[in-house]
Amino acid sequence: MTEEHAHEQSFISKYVFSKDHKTIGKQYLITGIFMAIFGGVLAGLFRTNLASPGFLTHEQYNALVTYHGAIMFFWVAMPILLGGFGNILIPLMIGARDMAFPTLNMLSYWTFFVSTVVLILSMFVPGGGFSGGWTIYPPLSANPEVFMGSQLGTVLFLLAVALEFASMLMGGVNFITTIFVMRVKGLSFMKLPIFIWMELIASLLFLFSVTPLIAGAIMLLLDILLGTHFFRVEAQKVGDPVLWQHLFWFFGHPEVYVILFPALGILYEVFTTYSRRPVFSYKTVVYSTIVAGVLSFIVWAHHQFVAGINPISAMAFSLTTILISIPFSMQLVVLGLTIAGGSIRFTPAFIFGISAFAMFVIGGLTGLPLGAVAADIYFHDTYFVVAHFHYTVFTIAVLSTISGIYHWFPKMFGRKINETFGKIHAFLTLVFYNGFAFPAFFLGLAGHPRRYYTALELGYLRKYQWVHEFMTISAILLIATQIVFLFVFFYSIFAGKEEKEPNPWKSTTLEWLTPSPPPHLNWGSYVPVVENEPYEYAKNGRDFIPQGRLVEIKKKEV
Amino acid sequence: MSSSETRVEEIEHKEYYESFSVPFQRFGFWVFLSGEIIILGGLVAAAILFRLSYPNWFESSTYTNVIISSINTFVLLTGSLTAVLAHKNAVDGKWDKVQLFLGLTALAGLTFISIKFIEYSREIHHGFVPSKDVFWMFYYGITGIHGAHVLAGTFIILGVMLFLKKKKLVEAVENAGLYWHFVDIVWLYIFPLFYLT
Amino acid sequence: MQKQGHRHPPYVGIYFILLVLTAASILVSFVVHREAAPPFVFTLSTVKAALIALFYMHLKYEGRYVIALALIPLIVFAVVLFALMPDIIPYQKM
Repeated sequence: MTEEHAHEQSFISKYVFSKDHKTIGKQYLITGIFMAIFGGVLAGLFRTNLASPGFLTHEQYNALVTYHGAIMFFWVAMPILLGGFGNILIPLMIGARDMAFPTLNMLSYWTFFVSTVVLILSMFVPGGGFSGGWTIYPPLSANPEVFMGSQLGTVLFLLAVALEFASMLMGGVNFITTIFVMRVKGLSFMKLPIFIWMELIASLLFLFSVTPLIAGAIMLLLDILLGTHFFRVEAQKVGDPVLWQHLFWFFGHPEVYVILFPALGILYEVFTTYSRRPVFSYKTVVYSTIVAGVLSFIVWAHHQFVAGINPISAMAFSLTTILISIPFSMQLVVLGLTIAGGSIRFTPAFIFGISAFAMFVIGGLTGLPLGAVAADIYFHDTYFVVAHFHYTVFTIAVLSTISGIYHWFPKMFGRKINETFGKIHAFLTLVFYNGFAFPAFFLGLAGHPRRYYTALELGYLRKYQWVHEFMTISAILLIATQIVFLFVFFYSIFAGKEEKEPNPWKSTTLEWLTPSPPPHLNWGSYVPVVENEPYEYAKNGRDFIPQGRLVEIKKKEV
Repeated sequence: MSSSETRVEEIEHKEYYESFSVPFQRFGFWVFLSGEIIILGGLVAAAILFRLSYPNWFESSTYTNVIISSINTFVLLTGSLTAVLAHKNAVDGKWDKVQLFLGLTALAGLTFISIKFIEYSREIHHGFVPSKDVFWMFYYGITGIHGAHVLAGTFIILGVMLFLKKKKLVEAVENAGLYWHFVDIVWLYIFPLFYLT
Repeated sequence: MQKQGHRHPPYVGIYFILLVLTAASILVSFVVHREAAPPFVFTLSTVKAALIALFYMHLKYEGRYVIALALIPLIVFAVVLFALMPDIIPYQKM
């Protein structure tokens, strides 16, 4: 059997072009963490301009805002939540030895890496990077030379996004196939850990939503390079910029759920483990996620209420947007009831998790005035929107991710991150995050438009300049805290306290049966056999019942 | 580590794993195909929307060449036949015939692309460029992307032909055929959209 | 992996049906009446597509997951097309 003899691998094939899902996952995780710091620094730069206008030129400001948005969605949230946690955990949680297509998996990471290089390159070519917002709206983006002087930068930016999409699609094929085809015996769909359900549904959402946008991107590239007018408006040759908006947001809305679902999945794993309770209602979670996923395909034009779309369309989308809050509210109730009455252990993972949950409630509630058409006419493109999406996306993508990192760190690296540091990290992150994001709601209520270079150019906003200064200081301290975390993270990988115990948190799911870190091909000469539900905590007088147990593979008769 | 190493565990010890009705290579390929359907579908939807909005579409559409494109339709359909016959022979274990039929399919692909190249040259020579008007931008955009897919399909067929020299895998032949049939089906809609109506 | 008991549909017979249907589409469009052709021609296209999908791509013999993977993109296509119509079409007439 292949797992018994020492499998000789060169450094290159073991650490660089690895086909092992755990290594690929770590590559995604680490690249994503570096890009998070980079994207955060970009935000720090433009926030400095907001606090002290004149620090940047207008073009630089626009470009930084654009790259911050694009990086956070495509080069941080997706690679970490899908590429990172998905790759590391999916085979382990379902009892498989690796993904269905390991070579494709390796290619998907390296495509992603190339996309990162192309993106950063696009910022520094002559003419500068793309500066038309991460939503890449035409006609601005279809005439980059005319409006921004950045034809090469724009084309490279689009190429980077295309490569990132390709890499995530390759990953999606792997995730979906692996979850369907490679589950270990006894692991029926309704026994899967919630995290696996979330990764599956997120991958399906991404697959079906990004593809019309790829069609749109092809049309946009043709506009830029061949002078067609799919989206550009010229005399006698009228294209339609709103078509791009529709194609973009058809993707853009499911995209936020592509990020949200795995992050919620992490919360379920973390909440159950540290409160010693099963999920309050497993079926509610699974079905509400599926419903929310399907609904997410028919809410998208709530991003376009003031773009001049047909008002009847707008009413229909407003209705579906309000409706989609129902499955999410159900999930938040389930999450809350899961930990209610539990015997909670306040580890850093749990503290980050509960912070993510609480902040997400705020974010979710503030989505309702945005989803109601009439109210959105006021709020659209103000700081209220900025606050809303930071409270939903940042909390879930960042806080939940960090929670997952603290939770699975011992499994991934066989070491622990110092718990005291973790608690300080959580406290500071929470304080600085709210310091920067909460005032944004009030700026929005006051009518402060987003993406503006400075508040000082508009008379009615001058009195809010101090708010910008406060937000900027909080944002910079927030980024500084994460940079410290970066150092601690890497220090702990190499010199953290060793954790030889495979299941230090006494969790039930299958990944905790392997050694820490799991060897190549995961299970050695054993295979996990699943007999129980995924979250058997505090049952029959026992603290927890693992979902499976290791069974030695019987050698076949020769 | 190649995928066959992990597959060895599941196949040799399948009593330890949940059974699933579809072989994983075919399932994975359908996941990929379902994404591809909407990429081309998105372009077609945009074309339909613009066609319904611009009456001057129809004036331009009379300048496309039905004879050349009908030949191309015949070429693609024949390629579908040879691709599925390759699959049939793979299932029956007749691997020499598989290579023959795959080779014929690849030839169909190259023929299609050559004819398309000649067609584009003639049209550009007459001044019908992508930036000319709404019909031509969709014509070049969609048939161009479709042509790129035919080229990719041809490369896949050639790649599978090489792969089969190492390992006789029915799923590889099937997947190559699936991609070709998908490209053919898309053409069955593009052909009327730009040439017949 | 060999498929046991795999019945092969009549691939060559279907091929000739496809050729006949294609010829019919061309005839209707160019000989009969070009303006009225679209419904007829696109229906024929759908019939041909169905033949290829069901028999050449073996969808007739597949289980629910593969059929879902084949059908969901078509639903997405329809959603995109119909949801965009109220916005794109009324404003374009030139």
